[in-house]
Amino acid sequence: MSDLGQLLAATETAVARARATSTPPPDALAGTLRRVRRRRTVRHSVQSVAGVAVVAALGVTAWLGTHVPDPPAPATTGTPTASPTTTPTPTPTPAAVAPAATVHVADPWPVPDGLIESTGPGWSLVQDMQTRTGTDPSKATPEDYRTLLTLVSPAGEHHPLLEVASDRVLTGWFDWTAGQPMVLFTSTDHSAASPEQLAGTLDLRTGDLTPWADLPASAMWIGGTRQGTTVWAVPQWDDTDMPDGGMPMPRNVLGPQLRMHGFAPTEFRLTVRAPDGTQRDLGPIDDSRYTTSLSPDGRWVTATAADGGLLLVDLRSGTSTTASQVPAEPPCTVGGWTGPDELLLSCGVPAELRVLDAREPSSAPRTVGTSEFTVVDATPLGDGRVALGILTQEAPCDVGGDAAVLADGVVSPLTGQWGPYDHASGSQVAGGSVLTELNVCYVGHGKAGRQRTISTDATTGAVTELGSLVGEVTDDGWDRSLYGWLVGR
Amino acid sequence: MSARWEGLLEQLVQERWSTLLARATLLAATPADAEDLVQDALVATFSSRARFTSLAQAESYVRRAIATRSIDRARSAASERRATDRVAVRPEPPVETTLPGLEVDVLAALARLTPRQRACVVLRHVEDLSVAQTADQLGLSPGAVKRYTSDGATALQRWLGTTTDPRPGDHERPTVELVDGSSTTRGDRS
Repeated sequence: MSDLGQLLAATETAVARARATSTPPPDALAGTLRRVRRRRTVRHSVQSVAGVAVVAALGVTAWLGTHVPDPPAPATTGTPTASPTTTPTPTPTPAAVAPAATVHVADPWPVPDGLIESTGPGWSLVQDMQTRTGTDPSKATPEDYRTLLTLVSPAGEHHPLLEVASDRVLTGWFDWTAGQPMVLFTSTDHSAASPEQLAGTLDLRTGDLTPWADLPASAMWIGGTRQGTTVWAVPQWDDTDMPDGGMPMPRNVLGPQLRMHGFAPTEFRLTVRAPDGTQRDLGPIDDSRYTTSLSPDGRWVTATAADGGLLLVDLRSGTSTTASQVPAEPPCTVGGWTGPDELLLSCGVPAELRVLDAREPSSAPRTVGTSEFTVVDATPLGDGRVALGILTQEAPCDVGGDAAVLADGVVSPLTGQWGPYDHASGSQVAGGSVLTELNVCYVGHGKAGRQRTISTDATTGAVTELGSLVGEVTDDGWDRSLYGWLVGR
Repeated sequence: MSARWEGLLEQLVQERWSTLLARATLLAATPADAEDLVQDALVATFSSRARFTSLAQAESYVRRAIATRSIDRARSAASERRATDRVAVRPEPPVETTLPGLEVDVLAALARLTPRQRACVVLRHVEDLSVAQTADQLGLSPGAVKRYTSDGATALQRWLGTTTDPRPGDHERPTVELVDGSSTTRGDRS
């Protein structure tokens, strides 16, 4: 160490020694905890948008507040064979539960007539979490915060639709068909002694939430279709199953990353809910090796078989089949879908990209290309190309895939107009563009670009900034942070 | 039941506050900024998706975040505005540190440097990081690190009357290309 280094180190030591007996300022811990809790709460909203569970957004009490009733008769899992194994009978549950009372969770803002109905793919919804400029976090009151639900056009124009009631926290939204006034949503009454988390449909015109009384709010989201069918992993737990810490941090940043196996030994059951509320229990589901992914048309779900292999569940028939020819080495991961029945596997690093025809699970996956990095979130663009994410960052940020396109066996990055230190933390594809939240995860060293959400044209690579994620200062007296982007189908 | 991260954060604040504050003091212009810097780094660290299995691991992460955040805060007008607001409403001044004369002079000299100079000097001369490691951690180009380290060390030497061997490469003066939100060096992305 140089003389200067020794002097600086001695100064640092002297400062530490001088402050050794002093305690942190009274607001240091409380204020920091408050800020972290707030960020982590809204972070769960972000994760929910990308297709993860709504659990635990406000902690254990809310999480356990909605226990799952005993499931219907058990269904069998897929067997580790190459032959399809039909479950005995997917058990339908009639929609016998009366609709729950509507809960008013937000007040409408004035919007132009027909605005919501005029939206199309590529429009998005976002939570605009605002803090009054100059608020001291350690002394903030509820009046210093407000949350708006805002509609964002593909060009980045913001239209506030609803202001969330001050006694409620929005914990996630899952699914929205552009042009429709309803969105699948969850909300918690955080002022209650025992906060109750509600999952249901939110009317974007009125702010009224109609809970789904037939489905526990703790169910994990797997996916949905334009026709209104939704697919869930429903936990079967009691208090003793709660993992240490209550809220396990997902390994990944975004995507289907709040993994069921993080709640082991809790059993989850694959549940399909029709638009009329009818449910089918398709048996236990596990994501310890292969993650869950719903195919574009809602027919297939991937999971981990009992023997650790890749399981394909046909939601139409209830059949579970283990894909028998997925190579063990290099290990493959679920990379998304290149077509309605074509599952993309990303094998090894550099990755060999292989496609498995879900209708022929005993066939060998065929190689369709290579990638320098692992591929995730593959989504057909409808013109033969496939949008996907490539994992360029190290752990713990090895999840958000930087935007790319697979065409004719070649993976081409769409990041030409991104900054050099921009990395995706989650992506959604709609309207020929990829909506990406940038730089939400920090690997712990190096430079990270500004946290913001952008739309990248999947053909031209043109970038449109849709909003800043954290702490944008405005001149209207409110600092803005945008979380939980949800792109309309 | 509190979450694991809460316990770890509380333990970090209770047990390592002084050392974190000391590092932040080298990198911040004022004691108030140092406290804010530590809290910002804690918030950034525990709001992230990273998982920590030990106090040492979390502290290491926070120390890195302090260095990086010291530059980010200085660059961000919004942060400056928030810091000003916080200071304006702060009911009592931050605790002043009683130090021997030389250390006071060192802190005063550090305060005269730019945030990037401070960060580069501390990481190069205290942490003994290489140019590449410093550049990686701070998101600067290697050329910028050399320039900031050289300029900062030279200024400190002049003000403090110390002699300092240049860090290898620090006194080379290549063309510097700053890497920030507006001007970029390609190459981080393959």
